[in-house]
Amino acid sequence: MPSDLDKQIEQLKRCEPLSEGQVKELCLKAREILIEEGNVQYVDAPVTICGDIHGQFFDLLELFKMGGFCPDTNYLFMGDFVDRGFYSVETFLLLLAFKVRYPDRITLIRGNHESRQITQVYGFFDECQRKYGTPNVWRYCCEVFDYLALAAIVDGRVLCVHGGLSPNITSIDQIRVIDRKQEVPHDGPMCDLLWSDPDGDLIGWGLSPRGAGFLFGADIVKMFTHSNDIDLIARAHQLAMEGYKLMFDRKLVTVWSAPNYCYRCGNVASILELNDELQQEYKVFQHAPTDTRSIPVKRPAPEYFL
Amino acid sequence: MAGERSLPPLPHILLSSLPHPLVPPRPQIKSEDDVHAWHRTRGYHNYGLFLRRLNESVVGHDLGEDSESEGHSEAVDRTITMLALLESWVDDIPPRPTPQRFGNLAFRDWGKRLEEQAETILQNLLPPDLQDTVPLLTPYFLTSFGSFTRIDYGSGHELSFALFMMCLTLLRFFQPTPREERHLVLRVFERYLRVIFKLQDVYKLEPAGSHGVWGLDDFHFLPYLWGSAQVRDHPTLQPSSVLRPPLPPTNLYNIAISRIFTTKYGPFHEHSSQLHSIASSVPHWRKVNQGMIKMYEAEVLAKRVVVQHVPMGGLLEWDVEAGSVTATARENENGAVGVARTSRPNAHTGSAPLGSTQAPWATSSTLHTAAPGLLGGLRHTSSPAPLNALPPLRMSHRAGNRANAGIVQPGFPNSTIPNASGAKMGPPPDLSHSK
Repeated sequence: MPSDLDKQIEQLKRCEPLSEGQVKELCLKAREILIEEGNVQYVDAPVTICGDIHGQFFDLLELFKMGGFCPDTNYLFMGDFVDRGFYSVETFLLLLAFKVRYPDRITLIRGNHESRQITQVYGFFDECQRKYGTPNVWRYCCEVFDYLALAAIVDGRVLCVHGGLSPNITSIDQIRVIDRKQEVPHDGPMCDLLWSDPDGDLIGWGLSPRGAGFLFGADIVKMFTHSNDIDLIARAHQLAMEGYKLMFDRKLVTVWSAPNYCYRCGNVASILELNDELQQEYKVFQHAPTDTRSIPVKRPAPEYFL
Repeated sequence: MAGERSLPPLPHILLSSLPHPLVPPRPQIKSEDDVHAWHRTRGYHNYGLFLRRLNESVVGHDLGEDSESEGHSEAVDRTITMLALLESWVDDIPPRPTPQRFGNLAFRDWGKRLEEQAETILQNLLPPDLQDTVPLLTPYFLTSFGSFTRIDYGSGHELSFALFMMCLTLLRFFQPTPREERHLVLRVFERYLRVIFKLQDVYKLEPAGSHGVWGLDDFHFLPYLWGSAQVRDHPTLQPSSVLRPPLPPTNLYNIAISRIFTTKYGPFHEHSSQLHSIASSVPHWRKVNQGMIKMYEAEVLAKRVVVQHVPMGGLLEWDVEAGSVTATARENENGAVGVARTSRPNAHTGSAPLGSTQAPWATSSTLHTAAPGLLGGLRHTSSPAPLNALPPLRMSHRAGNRANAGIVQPGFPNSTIPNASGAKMGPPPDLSHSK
């Protein structure tokens, strides 16, 4: 007999949302698991590393078709599950249901969009409001966001983080002592990990045009990887037209997993498979064909038009 | 709402009535309170009036109709010529080959040329008696084409161009007659849109702070507002017509929807869910037009993250700090402009990664004025506290980080949700209290 959770996973795989009560229960269970995780979660290879998803549910299914479903494949998602796309609710809940069902086979770390403030500007709040008629589901999810790990380290050699480095963090141990269970602050080390970007033209640190986090150059990455004795920093956070982008003498890679981002960018996406020896294989995939999608649900016009 | 046919003309602002020396407009809005204060200014009132007068002026008129027979003013002609010049620069400044990166850095070169030549362009546009107004117009002109730093474009930039047209009407470069106002929408704004489309396409501009599929459009708003006015009284056409492309390019609404069909791949109901809901459930164009005005007020003009970049003061009278909001005399010389600050922050930081989310708490000054040496201390430090929707969780003894222990205590202060959402919370403010 499949458990309720297994049924919910099957339901979510069909892109059918859960009820508000089911979401609440799932979020409570997820929080109990996530609170036990450290800020820097230990992950064993082999593992498949994924970048931004942004509510592109049917493209996430393409990702699983290529990389294998959970729990057959061990996954690490580097945040930005929600916002911008049409199916942020279904996307986040499916990943969360996997986390609750197979906690040791999937790692979720926090992206800058897993935040109350950002989701109110970039779509997830609107989506919950439109799909459920109340902001409750958004609230439950935001409470889970506060418990997501900030980084992960694979076999002690590959640091995974959503955005990048911080001028306030020179050793990985400094990430471990951050008080993470809060809304993403506007500045400081926790903010920087989720917001910063590498810059190939820069030496040292620069101001980010995003208004949060920093830009960091090759020298910063070289110093950080050397002093922390790691081979690679894997991060997401920026669209890479070819699905991934290696920089800084292959010490840093951007992995991007949202194909044809926002329905218009025309990019491919990728996942990074690390095998037992931590050898890297990038697998590139395209967006889902239109005919696999659900039919439109009739929703009333926004109240301005009533 | 004011009667549709009874809108007064936009006031005439005489240069001599403004405080001298003239103070160029600059961004003034930094908080939600500032947004509310702005909504009580004469500048805001004038913009509401301008928006509605242009809305009324196009009812029943198609794009491109009788373009031969109905000549337009020299002012309109000259503005269109000026826009064509800006468009031609795109051909001079080709996109750079920047593989694996979305926004194209050549847009900064286009922007640099605009910044260098803005003053000359406006001097050439204006007649001799309006030459002194160039410093009041330049800030709107320069922010009408996107952010050269962030390589993005959004409804705030579109708003700047609408304000630019309004300022030129306040100065009577354009005349507040229905015919000229119609030409502002169907000719000048239409030409502007085509320039913007080209900039978006060639330099791959990002949407500035979009609500994703839950926003009306990634980049624009006014084509939907004025476009729905064009067909508002149409006897047979229904809003659902836009779901059946190809659409005739007869109104701005169709132009904007057609643009989506050509730039996006995927189901319309997914990537343009609001437009789909409107098309499939609003029965009349009149309702669409009324809704667009309400939505524009709430989702553009009342959003701090949008209007914090808009220059205020000068012709967009910012009569807040003077404390004279009750003054009714339109040309009251004491009430117009706030504190003088003449320097305008340079809009360039170093090279930067693109295609990216912006922090909504970043103001234009934090983005533009700080130097790389000033690490830390640049941004606001407050952050909203979590709402406790789920019951507090007991800490396990095995929990990894001792430093985390304080956070889950039930006594954590509650905060209200920051008022920056796209949620449909309460009625939008009404711009039309013109009594």
